[in-house]
Amino acid sequence: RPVAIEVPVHKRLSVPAEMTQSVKLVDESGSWCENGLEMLLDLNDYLVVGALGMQGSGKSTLMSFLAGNDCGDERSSLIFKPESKDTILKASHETYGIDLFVTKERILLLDTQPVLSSSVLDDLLSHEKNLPPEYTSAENYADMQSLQLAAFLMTVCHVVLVVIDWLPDLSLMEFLKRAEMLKPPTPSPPTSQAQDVESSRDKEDYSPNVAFVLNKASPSDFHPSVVKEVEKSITSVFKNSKLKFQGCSSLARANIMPSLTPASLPLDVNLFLIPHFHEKEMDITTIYNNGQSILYSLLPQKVKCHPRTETLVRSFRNQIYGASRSPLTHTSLTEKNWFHYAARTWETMRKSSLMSDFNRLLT
Amino acid sequence: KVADAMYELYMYPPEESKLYEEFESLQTVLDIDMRFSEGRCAKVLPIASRTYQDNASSHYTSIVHENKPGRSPSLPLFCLINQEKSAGKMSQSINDVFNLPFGGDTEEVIGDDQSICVVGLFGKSDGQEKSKGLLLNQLLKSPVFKAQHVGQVPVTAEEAEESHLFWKDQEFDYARALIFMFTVCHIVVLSHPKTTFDTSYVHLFRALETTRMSYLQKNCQGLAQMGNLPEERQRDGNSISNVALLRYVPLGYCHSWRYIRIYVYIRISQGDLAKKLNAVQRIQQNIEDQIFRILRKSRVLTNNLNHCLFSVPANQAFVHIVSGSEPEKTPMDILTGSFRDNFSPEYSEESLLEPGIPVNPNIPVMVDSLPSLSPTKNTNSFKTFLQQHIDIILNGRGFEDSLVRGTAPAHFEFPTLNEWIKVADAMYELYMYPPEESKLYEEFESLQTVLDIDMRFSEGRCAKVLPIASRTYQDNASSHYTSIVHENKFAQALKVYAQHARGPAYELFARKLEQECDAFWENGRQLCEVISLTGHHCILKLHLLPEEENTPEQQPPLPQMPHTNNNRTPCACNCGKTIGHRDDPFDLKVANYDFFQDLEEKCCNKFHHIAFPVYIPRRLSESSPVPEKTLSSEGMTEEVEAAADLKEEQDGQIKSGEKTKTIPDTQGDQPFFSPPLSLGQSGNDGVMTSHDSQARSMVTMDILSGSESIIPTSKGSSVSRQLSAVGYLQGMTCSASHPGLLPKYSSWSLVCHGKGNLYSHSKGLDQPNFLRDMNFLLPWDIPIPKGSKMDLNWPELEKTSGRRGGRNRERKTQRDSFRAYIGLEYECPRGHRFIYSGADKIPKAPGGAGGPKEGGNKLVTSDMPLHVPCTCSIHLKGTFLIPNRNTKPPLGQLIRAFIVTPEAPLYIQLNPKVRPGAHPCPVFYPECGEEGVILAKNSFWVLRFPYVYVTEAEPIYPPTDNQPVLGAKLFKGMFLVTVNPPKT
Repeated sequence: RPVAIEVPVHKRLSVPAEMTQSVKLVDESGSWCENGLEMLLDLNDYLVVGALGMQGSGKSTLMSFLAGNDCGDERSSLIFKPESKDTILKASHETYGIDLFVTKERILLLDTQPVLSSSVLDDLLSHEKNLPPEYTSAENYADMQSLQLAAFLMTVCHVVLVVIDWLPDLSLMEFLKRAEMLKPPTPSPPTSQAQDVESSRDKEDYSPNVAFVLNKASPSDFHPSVVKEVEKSITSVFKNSKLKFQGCSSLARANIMPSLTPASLPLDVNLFLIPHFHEKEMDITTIYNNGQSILYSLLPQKVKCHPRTETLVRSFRNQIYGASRSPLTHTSLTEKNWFHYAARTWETMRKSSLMSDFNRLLT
Repeated sequence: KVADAMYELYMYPPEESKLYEEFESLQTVLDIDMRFSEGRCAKVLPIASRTYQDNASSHYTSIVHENKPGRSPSLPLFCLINQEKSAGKMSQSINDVFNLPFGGDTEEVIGDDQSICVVGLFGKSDGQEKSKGLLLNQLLKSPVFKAQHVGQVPVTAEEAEESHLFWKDQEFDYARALIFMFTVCHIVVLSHPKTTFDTSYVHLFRALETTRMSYLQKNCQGLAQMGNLPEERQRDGNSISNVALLRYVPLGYCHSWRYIRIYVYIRISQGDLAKKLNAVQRIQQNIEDQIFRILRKSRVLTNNLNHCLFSVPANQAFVHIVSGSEPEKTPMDILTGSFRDNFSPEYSEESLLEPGIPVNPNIPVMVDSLPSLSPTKNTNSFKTFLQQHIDIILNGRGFEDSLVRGTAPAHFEFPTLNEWIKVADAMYELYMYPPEESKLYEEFESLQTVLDIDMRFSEGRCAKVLPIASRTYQDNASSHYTSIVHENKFAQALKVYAQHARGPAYELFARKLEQECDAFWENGRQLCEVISLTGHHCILKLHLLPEEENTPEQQPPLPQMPHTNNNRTPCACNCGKTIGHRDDPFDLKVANYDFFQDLEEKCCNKFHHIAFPVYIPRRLSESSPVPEKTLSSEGMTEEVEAAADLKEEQDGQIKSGEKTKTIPDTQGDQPFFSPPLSLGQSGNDGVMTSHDSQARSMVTMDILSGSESIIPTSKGSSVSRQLSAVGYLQGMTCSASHPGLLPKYSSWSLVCHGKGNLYSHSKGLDQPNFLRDMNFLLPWDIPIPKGSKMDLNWPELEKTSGRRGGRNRERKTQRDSFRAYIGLEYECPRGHRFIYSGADKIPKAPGGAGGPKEGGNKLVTSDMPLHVPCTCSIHLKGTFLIPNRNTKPPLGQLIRAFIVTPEAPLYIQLNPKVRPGAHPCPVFYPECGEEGVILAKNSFWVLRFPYVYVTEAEPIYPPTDNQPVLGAKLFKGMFLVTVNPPKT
């Protein structure tokens, strides 16, 4: 006969075993997974960060570095699994659904499958028979999936990282605005008193911080004029949006490059540039083995126009960790509550009338 | 030592030394690259220069040079037009770029009749300078948006909508250009900066195909007008079938960082070219499969080629990946890399296809003879890739891309450049500027709708939410309500709307909601919000006053009725003995005159009045008065007889306001009806009023010493006054009103109850509604100036007062002063009345029996507030004198002054000046001039203040929050002492 074991109170708050690998939050078929709950506590002080991006833009790699990996780490040891060589050759994608990782600083990191991806669409096409009945075609389903994913992140995350590896992708910008449009309204807290309902009606819907990360940036991208232009574009696209695209993380805020300061970038757009991760310093022994002079190793490896990648990544991590944690709902949630709230949101996302209305317009 | 010296020598050789020269030559020897390069470049330079000059036409556009920035999605529609190689004469080749619409003479420019292959290029580009590759950039520079977008402009509602429309217009232009391109090109190349297929193209292609199919008919007609075209082409407008080639441009030659996948792979397989090619080919293969599956499943590609927008080659590769360069490994690589970066425009033939910004709406066309077809070793170049497909066209064969055997092959046209330009020109005209009535125009409009899915969604959503929000507004709406309620309700409805409405149509429907709510309110639910003179609005539906006429455009006509707000307040009459109830006044005359006049009928009429001068309409018959005479007749003093004596003329029931009018009638022999426009003149008129018969009760209004100043004033300004069209004041006399004008009625009133012994200080005032023990006037002992004439009189005076009995016993012992009683009465909206001494912040009843012993001096020597908190709420609460902190007590307003004048040769002169608001508010005074009124001795006077204060411009409202305004006060100097008796 099973006996209910009472967990001592002090143990409830103790940190569970540190995670080394991410766990699935949503699997590839789109169903919610419950095993992430074990990692969560009854604490209020946490931050949820989600990553959105196109296929191959480096979401998983970037999230791994946020989760604590170092720039020197082997690809295989990354917390979120990056694309393998084979995946690249197949023009396919690596992450399916949503992965969750909790750092010991209580940062909840959500890595997602790519949006607007031809590879995802291709997968759906090969299983066209299994499409849910409400979707008329596979590409509509792929579009709606992407939208649901983005709207989900915009509902349950404090910070949504938009990872891009080339600028500008207009369809991605349009996509983000569309996802904001389809974002479900923040649920009002269940109260019996009419007054509270009245007051909750006054509150605005939640909208997250949106931080753009230009991944794999080239040295020329760090030029102030380039950064400025990009910021200008983002500002004009998101001018009417409620998404908080300013004041969270940017190179100017990091203040690690003398040319990029709050004074020279007054727009304060959340735009961070991360250079390519895998430019490993050349090993001296390799050069030696190649028969080249050892003196070569003293020459600069590459002309860089930016601080060391490690510095940038560390600074970016600090900024994201310190992002404002405005409450996701009108009532405050603990980590565990957040998990249930996210599960509920994921479900409503698929049944949302906004989504189905939009789906009907897709021909 | 040696090392040190050697170090110095070698590291820093002196500049003139032999060693220095040796080092310099060593440097040259070492830099073999530079020597080689210099020689080479010097040799090549003239050749290159000649190349440029050789093929130069006499004049050409600068398009090529402007082609640096790209856009995404851009409109880089280059048509690469290739002359067939078989002509074999390089000298005849044409290198030119021109724009569509083609402006020049086709015969002149292109003399060749060989058939051409037309290649179109579109897609997303990622130019060398990415920041300039932004469409947004163009948006920023676009004249339409220049004003709004440059700099940090606050977001306005209109802008939000407009920017969406602007985007969509751009997209629509793009779509139309694509249709054009899919019509006039043999081959269309889609370029994409990443090794993924953009799935959004599926929607676009399908929308384009739908549009294309439905306008085919139209297309033929347009072409038929071209006249000199081959029959065949006219028959089948959609003559040129297309092959879509998907060209992925990783731009590897400049930015190897972009191609992380390729880059990574190349590092692994370093030095093994074959393997590397393999990998690229594998990716190409996989992407090709992926794209084909997607296009096929999404029915962009179907079995019937004639119903497809394009086809893809069945047996040839249609995806090309421009692979990255060798990774940069050494400093030299970096140097060469940066050289390449700097000089990349001449780097390869690819630069021919460098996308550019077309100067909208022109489409640049580049005509080129591909210089050499000698098969290069590099089989992976884009040129080789494209050439395979071009060759098919040039060899006069069509594509055989049919997916099913047996279907009719697509029809192919092999036009000459000349023909092609004509067709392309016409098509361009047709697609870019379709006539508004045409079928094509409609098709384009529907295409626009199809493409703008966000707007469609948003419109549907907002239209659904609108009635809900509108109902929120209408629910629980009372029959009529104020604009504040309307605003609040609208804000609530907007909140409901905002909760559910989404997308770019938000503002549009928000405006609709506002219109609906406004219409609902204005349709019979609007409240008449005319504000009364006490600051409360009328509570009726929107209406007109009885004397107002409905304007013809007002439908339905508004009802006509007077304003009201059910705000009835008790108010005592002029003398204070009778209480009446007044409606909240909307009219000055009603407030300050009519109400009291009505009560006068019942009560004060019998009392003796002093009327203040008012405007009297000039009679036509007496239009030629002699002003000099009237001015000189009496000089300084003016008497205004106002009322009959209390005892003798009980029957003289003539209203004081009409008195001045009626008296002249009874004494018609007096020519005093000269224009009574000024104070001086009206005084002259009033001089003669029945002073002969009523000596005892004579009341005068004495302008003591100021008369000298008044007369010149009246003289000087009399002309202008007489000329003024409006001869009277609309409002009340105050420091801001026209100094010479009088109102038609007085807002003040001065009444004499009778003898001074009517007031008993032990009982206080015997009038209704006074708060308990707060009805006592304040004794005011007027000192007799020492050594004055009056000093001699005092024994006599004492005798006089002694005769009066014990009422003022203390006065007997006090021989150096006379006692008067004065008091300022305040009345609160609830009708409570009280005398306020100014001694305490909150009025309180004087302790002890027999009334207050002193306190009158304060009234004489200091300003008194116009409003004082009434203690009535305190009394009601039962906690005496402890004010409730939550509800402020209502304010009592100064309404009456009581004066019991002494029996003495000293006279009390009243000169009230009231400032009803904080500075700078005009000061109000009765129409008795600068000096005030002298009161007859030993009598009981009541001065009634105005109920409301109104300047010519606007009413001055009482404080709304029951918080007295600090500046609103009665100025000190109201009670004066004079030795001059009132004029009789």
